[in-house]
Amino acid sequence: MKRQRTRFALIAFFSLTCFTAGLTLSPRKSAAFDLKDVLKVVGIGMIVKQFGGEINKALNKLMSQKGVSTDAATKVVPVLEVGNDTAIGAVQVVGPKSQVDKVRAVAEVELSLGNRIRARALMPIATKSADTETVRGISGVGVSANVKHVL
Amino acid sequence: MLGLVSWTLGYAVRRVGTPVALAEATPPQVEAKALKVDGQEVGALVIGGQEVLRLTQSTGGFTPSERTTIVAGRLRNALAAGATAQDVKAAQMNGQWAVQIKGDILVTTDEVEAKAVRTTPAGLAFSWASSLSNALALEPGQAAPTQPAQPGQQQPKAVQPAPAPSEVAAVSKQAEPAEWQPEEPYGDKWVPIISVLRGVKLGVARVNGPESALGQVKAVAQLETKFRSLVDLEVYIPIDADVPQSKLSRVKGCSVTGLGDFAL
Repeated sequence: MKRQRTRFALIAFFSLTCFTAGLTLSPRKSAAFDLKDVLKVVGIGMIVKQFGGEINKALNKLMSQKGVSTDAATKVVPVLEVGNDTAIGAVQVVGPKSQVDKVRAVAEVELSLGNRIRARALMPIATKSADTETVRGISGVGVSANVKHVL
Repeated sequence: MLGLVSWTLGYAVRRVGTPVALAEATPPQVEAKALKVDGQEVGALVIGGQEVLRLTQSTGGFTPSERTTIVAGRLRNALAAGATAQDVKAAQMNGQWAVQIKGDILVTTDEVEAKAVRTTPAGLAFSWASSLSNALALEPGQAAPTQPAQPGQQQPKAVQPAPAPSEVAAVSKQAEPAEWQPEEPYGDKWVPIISVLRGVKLGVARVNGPESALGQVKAVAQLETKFRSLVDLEVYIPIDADVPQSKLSRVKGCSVTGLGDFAL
């Protein structure tokens, strides 16, 4: 009985040691890998929430490096298809700060004529839904960058 | 074709950057026109000389032109009862999208009508509501486009600088307080998008901004980069040259409100 208990304790200790070693010695996940996982699971809407600030800074830094920075306020928001609240992308909006502060999303209306021409109207709106009666356009605000995730 | 897309898009987004002015006491002239397009009968609703929507499908035993006549009648009645541009909205009722004025249905959209322009019924209602409210916001007698705008053409602006945030599609019943007022009227125009890296045309962009700045915009330069190797970023920079130079010259105050491209 005592021998069995000792054997069980040894097996438990060995298992725990292996588990701890696996945790500490395995390669660490990179941030990019984490982002890819997040993209797969939660989609662009959550990415905007999680990384919108960072993407906005990256975009502004790029514009500054190219000497085309803007004095206006910027922000990254999701793009919503009209009639469907699912985020289908993200964009950086630009405009007067008081107006940009109001923007919660950009509503997209897609139109095509024939098989050759495709057009997208992008309208900054003050709600996070493009499927309600409370959708409002925000004057003076436009899109300065498109965020496309590639998976 | 592109002109028609430009025109439709123009009025879908115009109210974002251009103001909504209340119609004057005299209601604008509302007409229903019967047209033939590629041998097919269509009905066009025209307000103050400006076409705001086209019906191409027969519904409920009515031809497109008959439907347009009915829509025009409903609109005239609503305007006579005091309805204004701000009373126009897109809304869903019993699962069907429609353009309403003061809560009454003006015209409904369906899958067939929407598919003709490759959008959804909601998108079509949204677009029609914007076109209609924008046309109603123009002062009687104000010049209105009789032909679709072409890329590179500047479209006529609405009457006054926006005293209040404009309503784009479905319009809330409650009035929003006036907060932001531009120093000068905003306008829109279509210009080509040029890749900075490759120097080739990538499509067209609708640019919105103060008219004095908008006049300087010749193209939109597109920069491309990545964020953490997984997210592609495309930056749109309105520039004052036809082709991006080694040093880009940004036209400040202008930004993009629409994108268009040609499928190969």
